[in-house]
Amino acid sequence: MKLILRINGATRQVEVDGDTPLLWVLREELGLLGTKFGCGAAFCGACTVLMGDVPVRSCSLPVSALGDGVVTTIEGIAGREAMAVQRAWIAGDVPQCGYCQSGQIMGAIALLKANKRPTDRDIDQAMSGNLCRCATYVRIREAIHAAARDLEGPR
Amino acid sequence: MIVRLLIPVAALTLVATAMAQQPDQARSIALFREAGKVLQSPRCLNCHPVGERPTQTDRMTPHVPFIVRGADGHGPAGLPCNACHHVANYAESGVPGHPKWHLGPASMAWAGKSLGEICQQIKDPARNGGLDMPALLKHMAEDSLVGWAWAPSGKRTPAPGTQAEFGATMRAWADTGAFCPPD
Amino acid sequence: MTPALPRRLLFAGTAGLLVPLGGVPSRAQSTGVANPEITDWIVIAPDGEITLGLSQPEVGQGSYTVLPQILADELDADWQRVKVRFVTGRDAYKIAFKNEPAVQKEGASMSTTVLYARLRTPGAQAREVLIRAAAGHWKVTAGQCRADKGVVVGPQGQRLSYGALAGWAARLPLAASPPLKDPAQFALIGKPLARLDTVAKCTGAAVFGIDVVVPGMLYGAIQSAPSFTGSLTAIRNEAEILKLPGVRAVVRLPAVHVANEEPGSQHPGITQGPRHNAVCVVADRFWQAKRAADALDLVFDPGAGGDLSTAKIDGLLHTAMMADKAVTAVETGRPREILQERAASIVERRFTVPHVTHAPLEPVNATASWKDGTLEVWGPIQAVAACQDAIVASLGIKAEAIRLNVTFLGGSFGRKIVPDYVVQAVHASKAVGRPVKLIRTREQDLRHGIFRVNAGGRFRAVVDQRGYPLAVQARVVGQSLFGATRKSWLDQTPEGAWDESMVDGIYNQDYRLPNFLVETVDTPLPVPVYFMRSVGSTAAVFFWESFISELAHRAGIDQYDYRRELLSDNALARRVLDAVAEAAQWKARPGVVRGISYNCYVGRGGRFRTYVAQVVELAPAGDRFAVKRVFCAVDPGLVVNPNTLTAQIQGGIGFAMTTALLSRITFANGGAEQSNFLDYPLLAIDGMPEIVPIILPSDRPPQGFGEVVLAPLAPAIAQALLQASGRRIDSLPLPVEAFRRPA
Repeated sequence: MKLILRINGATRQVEVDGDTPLLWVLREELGLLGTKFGCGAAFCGACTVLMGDVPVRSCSLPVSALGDGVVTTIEGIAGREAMAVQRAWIAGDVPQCGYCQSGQIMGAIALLKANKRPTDRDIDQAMSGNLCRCATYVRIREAIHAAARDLEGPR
Repeated sequence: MIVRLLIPVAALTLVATAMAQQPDQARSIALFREAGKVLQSPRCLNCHPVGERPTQTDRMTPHVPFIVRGADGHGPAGLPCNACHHVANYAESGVPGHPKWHLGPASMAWAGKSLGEICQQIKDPARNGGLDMPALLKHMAEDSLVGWAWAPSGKRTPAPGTQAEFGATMRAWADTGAFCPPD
Repeated sequence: MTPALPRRLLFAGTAGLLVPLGGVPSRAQSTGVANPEITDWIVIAPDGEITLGLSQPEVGQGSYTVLPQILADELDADWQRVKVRFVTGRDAYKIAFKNEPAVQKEGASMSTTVLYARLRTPGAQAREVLIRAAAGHWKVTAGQCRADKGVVVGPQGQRLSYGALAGWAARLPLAASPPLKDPAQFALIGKPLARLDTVAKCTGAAVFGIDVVVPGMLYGAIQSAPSFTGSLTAIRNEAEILKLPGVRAVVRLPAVHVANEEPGSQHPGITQGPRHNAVCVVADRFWQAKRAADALDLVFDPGAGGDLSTAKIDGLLHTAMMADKAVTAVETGRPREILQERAASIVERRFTVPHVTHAPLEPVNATASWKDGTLEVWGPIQAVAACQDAIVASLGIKAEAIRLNVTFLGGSFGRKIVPDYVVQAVHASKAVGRPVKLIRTREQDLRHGIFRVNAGGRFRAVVDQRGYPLAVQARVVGQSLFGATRKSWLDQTPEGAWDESMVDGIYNQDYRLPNFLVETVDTPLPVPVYFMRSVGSTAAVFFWESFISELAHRAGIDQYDYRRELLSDNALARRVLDAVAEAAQWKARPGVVRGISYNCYVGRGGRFRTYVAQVVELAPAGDRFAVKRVFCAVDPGLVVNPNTLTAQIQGGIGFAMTTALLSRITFANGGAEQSNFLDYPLLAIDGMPEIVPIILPSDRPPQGFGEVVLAPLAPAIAQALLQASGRRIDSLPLPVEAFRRPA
């Protein structure tokens, strides 16, 4: 089926089986390779993209269900929270192998959009769906706190 | 494997209807025990957990990822249920879905509780979300998220019977006095 | 700090071809390298951009930054002008772990410890020849000139950039052994420099194997024999599968040697005889291939190992633990006699750990392009040589006809040394005559993966009047990793061979033991196994430190004091133990629920010594205990980059948390039962403890580090639970109920 998708501020047309997971449409039809395949079943979060402000697992969303939803991938992130998160991630040298990091960053952006000053517990609850086998969780936590401070600005 | 109800529901319901408005404690409790086979199926208990975390699969293992109820049963800030659970079951990933996907409220925690305790909760508008008996019966018989339990897809065992049978059993229970099992 | 634009990260295949990350490889192939090459490792462009060769893959450990850092320091390069590319195909890039042929590979915590010495000389050679080129130009002596951040400065303050000098320098002969810097002069080594790959990994630009795009490529998905020894007998619905949308071909895949085994050391039953053990569906898109592979109706013969089960494996472990015969690995003093004389007072503990698996987050995948007898491969490859060997062995192609391109690896932990998935991609490409990217689904990755061996331990001791060990018998049994993959690595004795990885942390332990017997028993199994981060030490150190904890507990002696006493003649060991105890305020804060542990990681064959001590603190979380904080003191020799080393401490402990608390592979009907993160869970952020790293200064050269912090974690947790509840734990993963707080 032909579908019109709204991705990263642009309108893209694809012709795919509507039951295909959004993840594979992003990667193979649109060349947006920053979104990763990890488990295919929403256990690991490597494929997380934003639909509106929701950190959607793109492996578990049929592309036909997207409707007029607005999708943002790691390649298209913009806005205050996104820039604060990306800055904090780079300053904190968060990644090790880096494979999960697109998903981690999308999860952190969604968290900060929903909660301006998350506690450790808030971070645990919102980010536990983004697995990191290198376990760079200490730096993920620090980077989210740093991004939150950055967003608050100087007092 | 579908667990069949021990007593034919239709028969029970017919008898109960014939004796409408006649409180009958033993029959009412027996009817609730029948309904309990649905209420205590993994399909219902997984999303009516005691505590903050739901479970999943027929074996009721902890939900992966670690997720919590959140303020309104729709997950914590930043990771709502609909990050993964979309409007319908999705065979490609095995993730179940429904437009209203969320957890039962903490006041309606069923997992680990006795059928008697579940029954008292269900009847209590202070705990069941403010439903009186007609509203409660309608919810059980017609709500489409409740109905998901009979069409869960994948390897999940559906709740026993059908939603219509379940609704009829609940109605018969109410009609016989809505008595709760003592245990 | 504001992010710079993503660096244009460079990688190369053989023959010096550059492959820009984020680009299409074929486009890059037209751009050869014209810039002057100063050594095997250093290319300098006229504009001063310096490209440093990286012979070790980047799996997350930080080699992409740390190894160039060593080269750049001796070169006196401007770090801001440094780029990195993966290099292969020359002898300079090969390393040997011990008495074996040198090959290009990564593993065993070897990269920095081996290449620190290897890379300083070419860095210094390049600096010396650049200075010599400038001196010749100015007609002064080299001694009158000096290097300064990418520039040579002459006696009158005249300056020539490395870029300007490179063309001349490349034509001059290199000095054989130029003077190396005094460590006091290091400008980069020892500094916590930011990783060079961070920006690319925070913008989605980094190219992992799964992201490779080759023009005209198709996609492959597989379905494998459920049993490790299985063979394909029939495809019942091949015609129907070929009619599914996008499907191009159904390819029978020959069984691949599961690891780079030597002849004669194959896993029993796995590799005998030619057979097909998987089917690949090739399609226009991955999801089409995956759906079609799922729909395959295959018939397999389970083969000789079809009755493999966890119950059977556990039975073998128990029998071996109690067997009369074992191979003696170490025997000092009179352990047998003393244990016999004082049989009535023997303290005995037995332990088991299950098979586990690496589960890197990037599932194994590879892209292969077979064309007219030549082959190009792109993928997340941890060991270039092993991969090349496996392709040669399976396809009969000449090594010279293969070009390998190594991408970033989305985790490996040893998994991507084993190139079974690469060979499968090559067979698929050869069958369809087009490039194919073969991706394993998580289920195919986990269930048909490579596993870390299981182990059982039986420990017996008699103690002196004070409670310190007088004689100890330590027996470790289980599937031998070396026996299954590398028989030449086994240590031979008249009684048979023993596998040092089974007793890594025991045969080489540091405690004062006057009478000591270490034994092993191999229980061969048809389970495909290979090295996994920290190899055998995760099991052996769990056993050993738990047994030491038992002896201290029985003696009524503080766990720190007990270990300190047994390490009294080992100053470096004591230093690391004291450092962790002090940081954790072991003496000043009594009453904390915690455990302490020690291990010196020596690498295979005792190539290095990295001292590690940990204190793990538990805290109540509802009706349970949770691992709250881990103090980790290390003496790793010289630290090239404290930033990446700290990351290895943090992440290594997190990795060990998964193994300690969550990981277990079970077997039925000849294969593994787990298939995704639902039944093989990984630690998530909510379970991650606070980490307090303590890095001790050292004059020793860099020691191995990537694996060293893992093993002490589990026994320290077990000891904390022993102290809190008196409960003795004898298996990993640590049982969930052991964390219940006493009422």
